[in-house]
Amino acid sequence: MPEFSSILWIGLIPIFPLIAAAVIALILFVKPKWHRAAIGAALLGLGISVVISFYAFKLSLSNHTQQTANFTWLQVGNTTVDFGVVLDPLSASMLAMVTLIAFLIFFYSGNYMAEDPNCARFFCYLSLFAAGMLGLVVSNSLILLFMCWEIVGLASYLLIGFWFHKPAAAAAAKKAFITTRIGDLGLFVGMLWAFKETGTLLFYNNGNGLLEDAKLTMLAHLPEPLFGISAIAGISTLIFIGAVGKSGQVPLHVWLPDAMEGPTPVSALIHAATMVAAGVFLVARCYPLFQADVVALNIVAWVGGLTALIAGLIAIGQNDFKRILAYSTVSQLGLMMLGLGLGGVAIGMFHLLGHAFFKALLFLAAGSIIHGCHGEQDIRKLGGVWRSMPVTSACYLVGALALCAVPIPPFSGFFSKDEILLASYNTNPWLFTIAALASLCTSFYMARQVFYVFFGEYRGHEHPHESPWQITGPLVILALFAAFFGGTAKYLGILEYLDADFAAEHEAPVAAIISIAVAVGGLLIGWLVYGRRKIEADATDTLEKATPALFHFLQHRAYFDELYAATVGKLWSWLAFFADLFDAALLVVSELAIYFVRMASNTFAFHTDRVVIDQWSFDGICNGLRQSGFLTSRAQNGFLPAYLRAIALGAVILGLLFWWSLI
Amino acid sequence: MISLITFLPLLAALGAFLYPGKEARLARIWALGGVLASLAVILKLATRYSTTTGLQFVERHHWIPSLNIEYFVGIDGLNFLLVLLVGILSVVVVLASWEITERPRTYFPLLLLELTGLYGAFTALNFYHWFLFFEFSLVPAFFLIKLFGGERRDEAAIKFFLFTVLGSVALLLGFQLLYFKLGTFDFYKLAEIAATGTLPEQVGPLYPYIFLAVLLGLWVKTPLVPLHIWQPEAYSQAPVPVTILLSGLLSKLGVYGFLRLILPIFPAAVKEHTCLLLTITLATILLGAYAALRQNDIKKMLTYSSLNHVAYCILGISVIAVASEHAADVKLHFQSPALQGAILQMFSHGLTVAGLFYMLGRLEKRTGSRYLNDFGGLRTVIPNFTTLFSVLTFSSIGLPFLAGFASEFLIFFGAYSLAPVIALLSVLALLTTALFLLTMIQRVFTGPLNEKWKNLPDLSALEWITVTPLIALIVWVGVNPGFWLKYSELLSLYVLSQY
Repeated sequence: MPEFSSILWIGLIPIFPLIAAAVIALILFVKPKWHRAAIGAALLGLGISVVISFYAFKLSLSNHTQQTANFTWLQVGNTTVDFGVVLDPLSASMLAMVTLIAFLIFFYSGNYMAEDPNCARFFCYLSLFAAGMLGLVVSNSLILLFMCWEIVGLASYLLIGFWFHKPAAAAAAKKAFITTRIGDLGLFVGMLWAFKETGTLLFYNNGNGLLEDAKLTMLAHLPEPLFGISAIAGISTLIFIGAVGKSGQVPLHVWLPDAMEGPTPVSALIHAATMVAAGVFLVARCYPLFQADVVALNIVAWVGGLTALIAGLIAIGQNDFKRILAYSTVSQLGLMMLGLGLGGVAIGMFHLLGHAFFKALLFLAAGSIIHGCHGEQDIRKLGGVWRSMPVTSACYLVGALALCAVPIPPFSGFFSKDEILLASYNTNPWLFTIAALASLCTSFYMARQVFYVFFGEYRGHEHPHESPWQITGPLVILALFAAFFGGTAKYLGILEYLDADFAAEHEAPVAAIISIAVAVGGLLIGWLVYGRRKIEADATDTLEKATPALFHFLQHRAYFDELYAATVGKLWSWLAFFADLFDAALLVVSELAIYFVRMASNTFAFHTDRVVIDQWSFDGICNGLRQSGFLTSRAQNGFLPAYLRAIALGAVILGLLFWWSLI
Repeated sequence: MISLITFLPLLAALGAFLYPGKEARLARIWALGGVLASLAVILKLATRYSTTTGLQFVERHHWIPSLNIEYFVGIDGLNFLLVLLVGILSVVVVLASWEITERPRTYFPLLLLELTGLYGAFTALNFYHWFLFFEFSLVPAFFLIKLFGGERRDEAAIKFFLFTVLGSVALLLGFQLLYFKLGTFDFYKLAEIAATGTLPEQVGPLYPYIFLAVLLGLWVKTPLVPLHIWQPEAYSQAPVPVTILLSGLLSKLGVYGFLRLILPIFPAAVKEHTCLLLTITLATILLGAYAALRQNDIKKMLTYSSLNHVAYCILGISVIAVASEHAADVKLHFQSPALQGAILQMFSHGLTVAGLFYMLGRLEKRTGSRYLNDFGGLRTVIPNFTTLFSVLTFSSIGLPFLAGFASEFLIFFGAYSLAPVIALLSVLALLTTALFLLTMIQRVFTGPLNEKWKNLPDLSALEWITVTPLIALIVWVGVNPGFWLKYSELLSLYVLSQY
């Protein structure tokens, strides 16, 4: 391929899936049953993006420097809002990862969703999602990133609610959109603030971008707006609120487990590998802003650490196959945030990339199992799947071990999680403890799930069956990545690639030992609790028998939903109630006012009618006429002497007047 | 040319009234012909519109020379998009009325008269002339509600009429006082006098009262809290095409009044009363959003949503007068987006709300209901209808790449920079808007299908023809707002020169 002087062509990467989405939308309007055409269009659109993305990735590998291409979106007065694309290690690695995983999942879905009557619509949404996600990744402008961010939110909403006839799916879709929108509005305000202070929303623009030294210095020297928080920390924290919503961090994590109502490929692509990681990507992208004030990074680290632990604990109490994985995703995203907050871009992003492969694998394998077991998702009703679905099970186990960060043989998750633990060990002992406990939880709940699902006897009704190659093929490819990505990438120097200033953390044997101990220890405890004895159908959970109160607390997701319904939910209904009440009161007042106006005008009309018109004007004139007629008619009565008298009187008066005029 | 735009609908009204054809079938043809002819003239003008000159296509004739009243019309950056909007929505309105069978010989002429009133009011540049059309536009609307409305149409019509007349009287008195002092009704001349800064002295102690009187008139028309109370009933009782007219165009007449009558002519008073303006605007934004949350009648929900969205325009307009310590050129960085955002918001809201009310009307036509709890799962039977309805809904929510986002981003940027607290509180409404609109989608189109509606027909050809152009425009505005913003560039700088 020829070398292009401008990097603008990477803007084409999101365009092709967008065209595919538009084409499928047309197909939907005309021939909604053309499933194969829709699948073909989606794969073709994304396929072109895969090729361009890998070319871009290759360019970036050979030349780590950042390349940008910017253009004006709109101009009002002397204010311009710019769009742009950027190719740097961050976007290049995300492009490669997202397009690869998305392509595998598209391929998988071609078989998985083939039976669905709305298959074409599914691929339309998926393509729309791919367009938004890739746009978000290549964006060099905070506002373009935000716009694509909202588009992926829309796609997520549409896909969670894909089986819209299920009330739970419809409710989950709305919940996801609203909860993430709370975060999005934080990001929105952060963006407005940054734009107000710097006059630009471009990340990089030859030294004048938001993330470049000139503007950073300018931001750092602004007066503190309130409560001693600097403007730059305020902006970064608001941006982080956006990431909290999208990446399911506590306290806005409640939508992500419910999002599992969507089809499983959606859970794998959007709610595990790519979109939920967009929050982490956003923080990594805006890292220079966060770096400028340590307050913001501390917030990121603490929110991440607490999320990792809380979600890890809640995952232990779940019985739904996909929800365990969902909480696991939340927990891992928390670890990525922790890695960003304490270690830097390279560490957080490394875990993001590794996690994307093994979590996509876990979800796709889970989908294969759920398909094979006729839609059963309750792990208590599965069991012994190992025997009937060997390929899927093997892949799943690889993914599980990668997630648990098992060191021998070194699986993918081991390398990145080890970096996070090491970074926290070197900086903050509290967060290190939290991260280690979270890792312990990870191993434990994965062991619990694996023992429930794969070992023992099958506790369901119909017998499970292995999936076709279109489904197991992507699983095997992803399993290879899950097994080898971490080690290979680290060996090839991914950390230095992602962050030019990356300095290897000071090695600490204690941290390494603890890291290995929690990974293996969690599995061991899991085996002790769930693996030693055969699990009977309808038996109470071993943990539930031991500590019912704690288990129920975790099973009910630590009552976050109930808490929100009782606080924010109630507040919103009260506000709505008062708004309605105010309007009702106004309505009464206005009705009364109109009533009085009517009464007044009626009275007025009545009185004008009766008095002025009838009595005075009409009757009055009639009476007047009659009276005057009476008077005049009395004079003309034919009585001659009276006439003569009047004539004489008139003559006298005339005479007097004549005389008077002579004087 | 502009007079042609205004009087073509009038001609068509006469035609529809005098030659309605057999069973008044010809009436709608007259109407469609009239609005399309006007639209054609507008598009012709649009191609000749120059973004580098201010006022253009001027027609100026003596009317009542002794009172200094002229027939004076023209198009500039403040009304260009609005005239275009009237042109587009008038076609939608006529198509929405296509299947009306009840007294078309009365209905279509009234509709066309209403459009004449709107065109006249949006193009007039002399107060007397403007007011004549402003008032005139009220009369057909009153009769359309009164004769063709829902169950409570009498109450709705009388309330609509009384409130707007109250506002108009105030407006008229205010401008008459101004006329006695200054001897002119010409908007541009008044603005020139105001620009010299001597207008308050020339008017004397009555100045603040004149301002408040004019404000009151527009306050009712826009409407803003608490004088919006005529609105929910008028919108929900009016027949669908009239609701589109009221929400899409008549409310814009109020906002346009702020742009034409208040900002250029009363800069000193606006600066003084910014606090009042911002307070009522914020109250309207929040009340609209939260009250919508509790509605079961979808038409009322959209009415409150419209109240909230139109108030964003006033937010953009009133923040430009906020005093700030920034240097003038820095301040302009915040004011231009706010003001031009407000102008664009009028356009994008007009397109979106017209589409939404139209679709809702079609749903009501199919099912005879518009209550949330009557529906459920309609996506199964009418997928294409659902898709188009959802696109319009998301435009209203403010999804990027659709019309609502571009204008709201600009308004919120200006508002946040100049009045951060007001902007932050308004952000709550952005969340609430998403909440009630998604609840509507959830309860109407998703969930299990209500068996009553299992035989609903999907989009008809007429519906496709009506809605697709609106959606195309919404996407165009959303993807490339710069194209639409450049029309208001020059005039917004002219208005802002006094702030």
